[in-house]
Parts: sequence; C-alpha cells; structure tokens
Amino acid sequence: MSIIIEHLYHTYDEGLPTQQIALQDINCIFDDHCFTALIGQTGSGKSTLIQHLNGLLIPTSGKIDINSYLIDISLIYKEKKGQQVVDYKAMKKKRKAKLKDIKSLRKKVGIVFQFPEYQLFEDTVIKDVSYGPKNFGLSETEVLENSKKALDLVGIDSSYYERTPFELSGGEKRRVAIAGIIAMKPDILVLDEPTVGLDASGEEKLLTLIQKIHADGTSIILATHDMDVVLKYCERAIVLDRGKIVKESSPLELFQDREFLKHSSLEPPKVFSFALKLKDAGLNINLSNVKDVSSLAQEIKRARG
Amino acid sequence: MTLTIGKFTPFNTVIHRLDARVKLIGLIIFLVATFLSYGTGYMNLVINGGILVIVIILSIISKTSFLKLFKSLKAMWMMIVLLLILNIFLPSSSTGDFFFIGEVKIYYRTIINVSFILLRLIIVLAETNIFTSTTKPMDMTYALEWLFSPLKVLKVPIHKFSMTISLALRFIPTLAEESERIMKAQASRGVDYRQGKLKDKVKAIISLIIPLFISSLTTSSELTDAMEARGYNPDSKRSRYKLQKWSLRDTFGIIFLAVLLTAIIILAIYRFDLFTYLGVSLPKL
Repeated sequence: MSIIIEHLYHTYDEGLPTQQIALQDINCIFDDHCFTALIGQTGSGKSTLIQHLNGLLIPTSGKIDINSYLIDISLIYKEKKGQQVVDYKAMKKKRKAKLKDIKSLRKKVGIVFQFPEYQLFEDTVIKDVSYGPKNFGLSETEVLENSKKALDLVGIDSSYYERTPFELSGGEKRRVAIAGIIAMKPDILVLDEPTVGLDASGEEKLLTLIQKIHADGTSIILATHDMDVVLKYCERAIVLDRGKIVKESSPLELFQDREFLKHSSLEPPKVFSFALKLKDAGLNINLSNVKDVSSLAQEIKRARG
Repeated sequence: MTLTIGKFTPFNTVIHRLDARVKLIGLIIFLVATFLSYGTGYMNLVINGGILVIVIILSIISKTSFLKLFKSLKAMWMMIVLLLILNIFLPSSSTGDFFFIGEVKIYYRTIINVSFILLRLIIVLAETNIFTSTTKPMDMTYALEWLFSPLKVLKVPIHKFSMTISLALRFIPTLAEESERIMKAQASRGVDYRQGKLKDKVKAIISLIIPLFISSLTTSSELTDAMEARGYNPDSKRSRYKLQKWSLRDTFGIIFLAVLLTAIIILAIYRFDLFTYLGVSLPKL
C-alpha cells in the first residue's frame, strides 16, 4: 500500500488575517512496507501533512492517492474574459463536499497522535482498545481477538483488561492507546512523535514495538525530530522545513550530506558523526552498518581486524 | 466544529479600536432599545427597523459578517417552530382576524407576534456578535470589572469574579483546540460525529466529553499550582499590565450612545406616534 502525494498545498484560515500557509507544493511517495521518517522541527508542517493521510484535513489544493482512494482537489480553471483563471469557488465547493466511504480510508491508515493517552475514555482497558475495530464493523469475536493481540503486542497482559485506563501509569496509558490503533489492523501506521514524554527505557521499548509491527508487514510513517531514532530504525527520511520538503533520501545519505546539514538545523546523530570522523581518519568503516553505539563498536572491531 | 459566530476576529477597524467599556455600554443600550415597547406595533416596527439599519452599518464597518447570522438561524428552526406553536395556543394573541389550518384556529396576530420575536432575535444576535467579534476576551473582562466596580462598596469580591471570568474566557480557545484534537483522534478510530443512529451519536459524544473533562481537570489543577507558585493572592490589590487609553474616538462613541439612549427613552415614555403625527391612518396592528 503506497501513498502518492502531488502538489499538495494547505493553508489554515484562508482569507482571514490569521491566514497561515502550512504546506507548500508537497510531492512525495510513501512506499509500500517502508519505514519512513518524517523529520522536521515544530511548526514545519509534520502534523498537518499527517492529518491529510486519512482525510482529517482536506488539501487546499493538490492530490493524494492512498492505495487508490483518491482525494483530488486539483486546480480547476475557468474562462474569464478569454483568459484561463483558477476557479477558487469550485475548488472550495469540492473541498467542502463529503468524502465517500471515509471509514474505509481510516481503517487502512491508522494515526497515533501526539500524547495519544488523551483519547482513552472507556471504563476498562479492553473495551477501550476494541472501540476502534468495533467502529469499523468487525464481528464481536474478531474485535476481541484483535484487541487481545494488540494488547499482547504492546506488552499489556490480561490482568490489566478489566482495570480502568485512567489509573494506569503514563507509559502504560500510552501503550494502551497505541494498542487501540493497532487493533484496527491498519495497513499503514502513522505515528506523530510517539516517544515524547517517555523515559529512555519506555522510548526504547516503544520503538522496538514499532519495528516489530513493521516486520509484520505494516508500512510505518514516523514523525520525529530525534535523529538517533531515524538512524537506527528508519529506511527512508523525508525532511520538512517551513512547509516544504527539503530533502528526501535514505538516512545514510542524509547524514553524509554535509553541505545540506550545514544549512539546515538538523544535527546528525553523535554516533554517526563519530563514525564519519573515524572514517576520515583512515579507519575502514562501513557506514551503512552503523546504527547505534553497539553496532559502531562492532564495526570498529571488524575494521581493526 | 468551528465557532463562526461571535469569535474574536483580529481586524483593525474603528470598532475594534474602541474602548471595551464604551462597547459594553453600547451593547447594553442597544439591547434595551431592541426590547422596549414604543406604543403601537407600527412604531415598534419603525424603531426596530432603524436599529437594524444601524446594526448592519456597524457590522459593515467592523467587518463582521451579517449574513453568517442567518446560517446560525437555520440551526435554530426548531426553536422557531416551538415559538410558533406556543404562540398559537397562547390566549394573549387570540384577538382580531383569524383563519383555519385544518381544525386549528390561527390568528393573524400570532403570525405578526412571532415575526416580531424573530426580528428582535436577529437584531440581538447581530448586536452581540459585533461586540464579541471586535473585543478581545481580556478587554471584555476588564470592561465587566469596571462596570461592576460600584459594587465594591457592598464588599462584593469583584476582583475574584473578574479573575474567574477572565480565566474561563482565556481557556475557551485552549478547550476548543483540545476538543478538536480529541475529535480528530477519535475520528481516526472510526467515530463519525455527523452521521449515524442516535445511540452511535451519544457514544460519539461521550468519547469526546470524557477525555475533555479529564484534561480540563488536569489543566485547572496545574494552573492553580502555577499561580500559587508565583505568589498569587486573591485578596491583594492588583495593578494592570495593559492600560486602556481613553481617546477622542471613545468620547464621540459615548456622545452618540447618550443621544441614542435619550431618544429611545423619550420615544418609549411619551409613546410618540409618527403615523398620527403625519396624519396617516393605518389598519390596527
């Protein structure tokens, strides 16, 4: 399942004094089964882009193709005094029109928002996790099976099922909330800064979990500004800056592009910088093997024979 | 869920720059003028029509959309129907000519009364809309505090009230943001807030309200801590960060309002009838 985005623009509060252009001419493809990182600072348009992926936001203009579910707000032209001008009225009308069968899209693309623990509301953990799949019309047994599997995956055992989600710890709440999305069995899982506010071990656990889900055949799109995460887990990186895509490559290529890094505010991972320096000093290091501290140590050991 | 009516819009018009106190007094005078009775039905119509014209001019000056009001009126059609039904059965309007719809006797008077109420409703909505969309919430509380300040003599804790109101107003956008965020999160879980059976809709609303309650309780306790940590004491005298400056514009505003107030009071007390004065005789209304 791939997502193809063409010429996507998004403007908030169009026509008001508070108008703000959030996204400009976004063109990109999220490949099937790929672990993609969406990198950018606060205000770069990450969250706005993410909300387009399951139709929560409709582009001001542009086209999104999510596995042949098409959201098409291409420019519409009309004749005016013999000239071709953009027909904004017709586009607005198209934007306001109801999307057909939006549920099928939302089932395919699951989004985990920042601080997902705020979406919990049911009185027991198991009920909350099964709320999503139930909404998408799965059968009772299927719902229960999916939910239990999802909870198992995030490491919440059956003793938690009947407890209320509000008395869990912060990390547990977040894992339950993420299980609520996983239980929907989306083909694409989108996560918006899922590790914000977690401690180091919680972060590690969560990312390993995401990697496991990815290995099971789900495409992952991960919005983050943590370069260590990008280096260690992601296969592709898309860098957003002030609403524009400024770089699209593999993490390896991204962190080696010194010219680009100099002009952007990105800070390559310390491990990678160190490896680069070692390589410059003449050590024969294969950079594509460097993922974190332990893999770097192994690479050094190998290079020194 | 976007609140289009009554939300502050940061244009920079004359009305926006007017002192909030002037605007608050103006709002009150306009509301009173709308609901006063001026003798005959025709006079009411003439004066309410005059107010409507002024309100339309004001909303053009202040760049607030008058037409958008009718959209919100569309949502109130249930209330309009209820008004009509109530008035049909109220004895007060059972005089004069009538006609029948089926078995129900309907007086022309009823129709006139209901349309009057609707006219006034539109005017009132427009007036409040102008006030709220041109005045910053903080200025609004300041104006309210100022208006109630005579009550200080009676040992009414004005400051605490105004602090409560300003905090409540301050957190409306935060709450709106929060609710939008939760709605998006739940929509991603397959909730449809617009369609579905009544039972599904109730469930959908619950999935919004519970998280909203929890987060606002958390926010409020955090806010209390933050205020106390910075030494907030509700009983001490406070100074103001932003001072409002009285300008010539405000003086003109007040003079205009004073003239308007005098005019409507005179009209209401002496029951001046324009049509008798002009010698035009009209059928009784």
